[in-house]
Formats: sequence, structure tokens, C-alpha cells
Amino acid sequence: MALLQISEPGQSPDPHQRRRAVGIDLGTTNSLVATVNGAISQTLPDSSGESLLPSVVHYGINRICVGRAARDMLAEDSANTIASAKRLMGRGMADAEGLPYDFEASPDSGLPLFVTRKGAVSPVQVSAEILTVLKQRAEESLDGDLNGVVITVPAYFDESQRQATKNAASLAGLKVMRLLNEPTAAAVAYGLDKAEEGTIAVYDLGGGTFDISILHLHKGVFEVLSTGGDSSLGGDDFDEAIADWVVEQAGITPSRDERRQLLALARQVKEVLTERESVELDFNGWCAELTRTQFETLIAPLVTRTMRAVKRALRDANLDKDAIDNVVLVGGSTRVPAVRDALEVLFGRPPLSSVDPDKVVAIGAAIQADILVGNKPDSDVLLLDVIPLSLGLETMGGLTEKIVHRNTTIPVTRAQEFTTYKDGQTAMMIHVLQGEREMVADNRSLGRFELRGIPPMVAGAAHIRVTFQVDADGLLSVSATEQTSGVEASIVVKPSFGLSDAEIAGMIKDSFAYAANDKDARALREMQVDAERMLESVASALQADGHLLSEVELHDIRTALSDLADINKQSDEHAIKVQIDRVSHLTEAFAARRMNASIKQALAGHNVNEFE
Amino acid sequence: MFQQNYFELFGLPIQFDVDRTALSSAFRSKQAAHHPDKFAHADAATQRESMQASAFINQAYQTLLSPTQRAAYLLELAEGRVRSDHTMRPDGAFLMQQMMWREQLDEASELDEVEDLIDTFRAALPSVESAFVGAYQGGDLELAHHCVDKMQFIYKLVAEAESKEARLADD
Repeated sequence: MALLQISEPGQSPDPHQRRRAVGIDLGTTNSLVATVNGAISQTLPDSSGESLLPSVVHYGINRICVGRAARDMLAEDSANTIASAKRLMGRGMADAEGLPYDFEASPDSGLPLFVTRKGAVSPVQVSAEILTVLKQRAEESLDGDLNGVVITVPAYFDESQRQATKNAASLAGLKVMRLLNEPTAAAVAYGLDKAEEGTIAVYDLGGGTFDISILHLHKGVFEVLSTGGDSSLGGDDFDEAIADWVVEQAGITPSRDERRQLLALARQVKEVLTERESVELDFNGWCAELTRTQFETLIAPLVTRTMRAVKRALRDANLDKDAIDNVVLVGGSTRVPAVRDALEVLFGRPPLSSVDPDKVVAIGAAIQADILVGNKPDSDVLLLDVIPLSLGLETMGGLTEKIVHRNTTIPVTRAQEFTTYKDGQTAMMIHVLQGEREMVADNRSLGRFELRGIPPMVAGAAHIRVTFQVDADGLLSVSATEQTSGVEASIVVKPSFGLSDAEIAGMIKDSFAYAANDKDARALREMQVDAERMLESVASALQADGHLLSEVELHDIRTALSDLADINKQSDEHAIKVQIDRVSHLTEAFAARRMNASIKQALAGHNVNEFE
Repeated sequence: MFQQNYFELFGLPIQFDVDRTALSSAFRSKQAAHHPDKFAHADAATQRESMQASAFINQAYQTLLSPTQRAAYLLELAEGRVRSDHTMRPDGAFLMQQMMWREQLDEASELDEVEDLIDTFRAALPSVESAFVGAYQGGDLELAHHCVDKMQFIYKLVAEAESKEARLADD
């Protein structure tokens, strides 16, 4: 029998005052829900006491099930059992390739749909099923409807992925108060009752991804200084390293099934080596001993890669490693001692590990949800987050002009003026891009829109102001206005085709590796644009005032122009420059004659004295 | 708030030298009052307003944090508009210096060399900055623009050198 609670007179808590809010960690492998209960934030378990809900959905003949029951169906009914749907949130068909499911393209959006016996379902729908289970769990535990939730996303998530996450939540009937970056949530979980001021590194090593963020905490204000990582590196790679070692030592060529068994064994070996110095392993009769030292040698290159990303994030934040006061661990793979040791060597202090690395993100999200819903009106906590990738526009010649640089604090509004390229141009295509590279083709296309109805003017006279706005959830909207006429156009970026996580990591890495290459490419493109501009302007001048030239002059200029057009198709920056100079030399006299003619025309009918 | 200039917004004197600690603490208290997180439960109009205010505060903070942007902003305030069309003053000595530095950076292949160059470039900043302050206070805005160009060049060069440093350190 439940006991009735009686509070002291005058201290009765008003039950309507406390609002029900939860934080949700919608993970690739597992998902969790947490809430603030009194002074502490804790994850909510299911009826059997388990907090972790495997992010797996099984579409059965009679019903849909989620979690462990669904995960148990993975082997038996793999086509109808969807795991890791998060990898495809806001992603395109190309990203679905290689995943062990049947896909079809959505007739509306072209986005990939899982083909199941219950029909085609989108990654958003699959995620909504997971969220629905967590929502029910929370409502039962808190005894009522939820007022609001905070859902965490990887710091690397782009607009499409964030939008898809929000869509899944509304499909599940949740009111999302904020999307919160996972590392920020982890820092919140540790930060509140700790030091007043400090700089924190959040090292998040999950199964398949690695994220690093540097945050500054000052009197409750969390400021993200930089974020980076490697989304094709994770704990799964540790398992692969062990499996490769077995294959090499045993001299076997495993079949696909054997490889799968081997990876499962490798995972166990890795977990045992967290506790013990060595482990005996037996793979189909082949026996060996693997010591922790040997294991650490196997994974050393992987750990080194994460440390490089850590150093890069420090540089991005303009900080020395001594400036870091605390290191926070997120993700099950941070239990590996070699990872902790490497961090301790780098920063000279052991990383914080008092909060379960599997739960820390959900716990931080719950704290933020409690504040946002209004349960702590006096709270000083404020999270100032940043955008993970630069946003820009395509300009002449396939170049990307960055408008909002990565690691800029959000919300942000940034405007830049552009102009027309041709005389009388009345429309302009605005192509919005995300990424760090110089060339459009190397970045991600977020969307295109057209600004029409620009009044005809000479090239360069129109003032087109393009405004980027990124809100506190990291969602982008873009608008453009022609300043003299007030013509407007805008888009909200919606999920379109996407890049895989690996491609995003690649894009950031590439932007460093190819920086020099890009510079040459940019210089060439700029030269080509100059040439195109010259071809354009001389051609229009010839059309208007060709009669000012003798036949010979006209012929020379035309020949030089057609040479320039040819040379411009090749990639020889120097040759283009030489030919541009030639054309400009040949047209000098022509330009002078045009100038005189137009002055004469302007003066025609006027007495010179009028101008004195 | 949107009528205030960035210095007024943070309660700072309108001048090139900025007290970093005062700036950061004013920034945090402004954000604490206007950030969208403080209005997560408000109506849509209030939320939009808070987002605009918060974006404005971010923009102001970023501008005042960066010495080049701060200097350019001071000139913008003094002239009442943004100018991109100021005439470049020929400064043969600085031009030679630019070319020499670029060459040195292109040719540097060792981490130590690049680090030394970064120190050299940075060491050139204080004199350019004090030249800016002199020109700005003396009302020679053309000269002040010229100093901003120089600062911009040096910071860009430092950034390039740092990314080269990062590449070399990773190898």
C-alpha cells in the first residue's frame, strides 16, 4: 500500500508548479531518458530496472517492438529489424548504400526508406518509435504528461540531421524545447556543482564516432569554444584491431559469419582487458593469450588519432593544453585504460569518471530541460553553443564564400552583399553550402533558391544582401534582398540529400590537407573569372561602339578574345594572365576612344560654360 | 538595444584598447538576460525577439574581441558608414616586408622555422596597432584605414602560418 505524504503546514509544494521535463539521449546504439528529481538528475529505468534502451525497432507481423526484444530479433528477422537508424537521419540514398537493409527512395523527398513488412518506414519514423517508448516510460514514472523535452544530438550534426531529429520528436508527440549538443550536455552533468570557473575538454568516444569539444564555464555560463573530431573512428575500431590480430596470428581467412563471431569475441576481450592484465582467448579451437600491453600496442594508432583531434580542437580554441582544468569522458569506449592514460599524459591530470559515461549525456540533458521548462527560475546556467561547420554561398567560378565560420557562437545573424555579374541581369541563383573547403564541389549543398525581379542595371550596380540566420538549435534560414528595389527571397533549409558522418569528418580533415591545393585551385578559378569578365565586357563594348575601331583593330581584338576564350578552358593560370594582359593592352586605345565619345555625347547640345 | 553601438552595449568606452575581462563579463550578463534559453516557454514573438537580441550580442562581442574588426568598427562609427573604397596609400617599405614574409613562410619547411615566423609576425602587431590609435585619435582616418589593412594582412598571415604549423605538427 502506498503511503500518503503529508507536508508541514505552509510548506506544501504546489503540485502544479513543478513542470515535468526530461532529457533524452537518442543514441545510435542505445537511448536513454533522464529527469531531475529533487536535487539530482537520474536516468529512468524500465520495469525491469534497465536504463539503456537499445535503439532497435522490430516490425513484427502483429506488432512493433522496440529495445531489447527488438534487438533479439536482429539475427532471426534482420530485414524487419532496424538498428542504427540514427546514421540515416537527414541523410540521402547514397548514405544508405552498404547498410544491411532494403531501401527505396521516398517519392516526395527522395530520402531513403527502410522496406519492411509494415511498408516503407523512414529513419525519422523509426526514431519516433524509440522516442515514443521513452516518452511512455517518462510519463509513467513522472505520473503525467510531459511539458517539454531536451534531445541531444552530436555536435557534428548538420541542419538536415537536426531537423530530422526535431521531426521525429514531433511525430512522437514531444515538445522539444531545445536540441542540445551531446558534449555540452556531458559538461553540464559534471559542471554545475563544481568550480565556478574553468575550461573543460569533453572527450566522447562512442562505438563508431569520436567527438571532442572544448568548453569554458564561468558562473554557470557554458561557452563552447571549439568542437572537432573524427566520425569514422570509434570503439568498434578497437574490436576490429583485435580481430585483425587474431586473423594474422592464426593465419586464417574468416568467412563473413566467422568474422562476425570474431568481432563479438574481440569485444569481450576488450572489455575483460579493462579489468585484467591479460586474457586467454579461444577462437574455434585456436587459443592464445592477449595481454593488455599487446592490446594497447594494437590500438595505439587509433588513440593517437583521437589525441591529434584533441590538439586541433585546442588550437581552434586558441588554448594551450595547460589551460584545461578538467577532462570529461563520454561513451562506453572511454572505459579502455589506454584512452584514459593517454588523456592523463596529455593533460597531466586524470579525466573525470564519476558519472557513468553511458548515462552522462542524458543526465546533462535532463538538467537543461529542468531549467528550460522553468523549474529553476533563479538558475544562472546558460549554454552558449557554436556551429560545427562553416556556412557559405557559391560565388562566381564555383568558389565558396564563407559567411558564418565554424565555431561561431549561436544564435547568429550574418549578412553579406553580393552583386550582379552581367549587364541587365535580373535573376540570381543563391546556392547555400556547408563545409570548410574552397571549391563548391567539395562542400555540402544545403539548398538553392532564386532571387528574381532584380531591376536591370549594369553589372556590379545591384546590391544583393544575403542574410544567414542560425537559431539556438543550430537550424539555418537564409534570405536575400536586393537593396535598391527591396525584392526578397528566402528558404528554410530542409533535409535534402546528405553526406555520411564519415564524409563530414573527411570534409574537415580534407580542408586541412588540401589547404594548399585549394589555394592554387582558387587562384586559377579567380583568374578564369577575371578572363570571363573581360570577355563579357569587351564583347558588350564591341557591340555598342565597334564602329569606333578600324577593321584591322577590330580583327586583332576579336582574335585575341577568341584566344583568351580557348586558353581559359585550360588550367594554366599564368597563360590566362598573359592573354588577359594582351587583351587589355589591345583594347586600351579603344577604351580611350569610347571614353571620349561618351564625353562628347554627354556634352553634345550643352555649352561648355554651363559646367563651370 | 539595437540602437546602441557595440561599445555602449557592453558599457565600455569607445576606444581601441579594450578591457577583455570587462568585455567578457558584460557579454555573459547580456546573454544571460536575452538568450533564447531564457524564453523557451514564451510566445513565438518573444522568442524571435530574444533570438535577434542574442544574435546582436554575439555579433557585438565577436567584433570587439577581434582587434582588426574592432579597429574597422571604430572607423565605421567615426565615418557613419562602412567603407571599402578607401584609397590605398603606397607604402613601399611595408609592401617589401609583406613580400619577404610571404616568401619566408612559403619556404619554411621545419616546424621551428614556422613557429619563429609566427613570433616575428605577431611582434609586428603592437607598432601597427599603436599607429592606428595615433591616426584614429589624431583624426587622420585615411591613415587609420591603412593601419587596419596592415593589421588585417598580419593576422591573415599569422592564421596561414598557424595552419601550416598544424599541418607540420600532424605529420
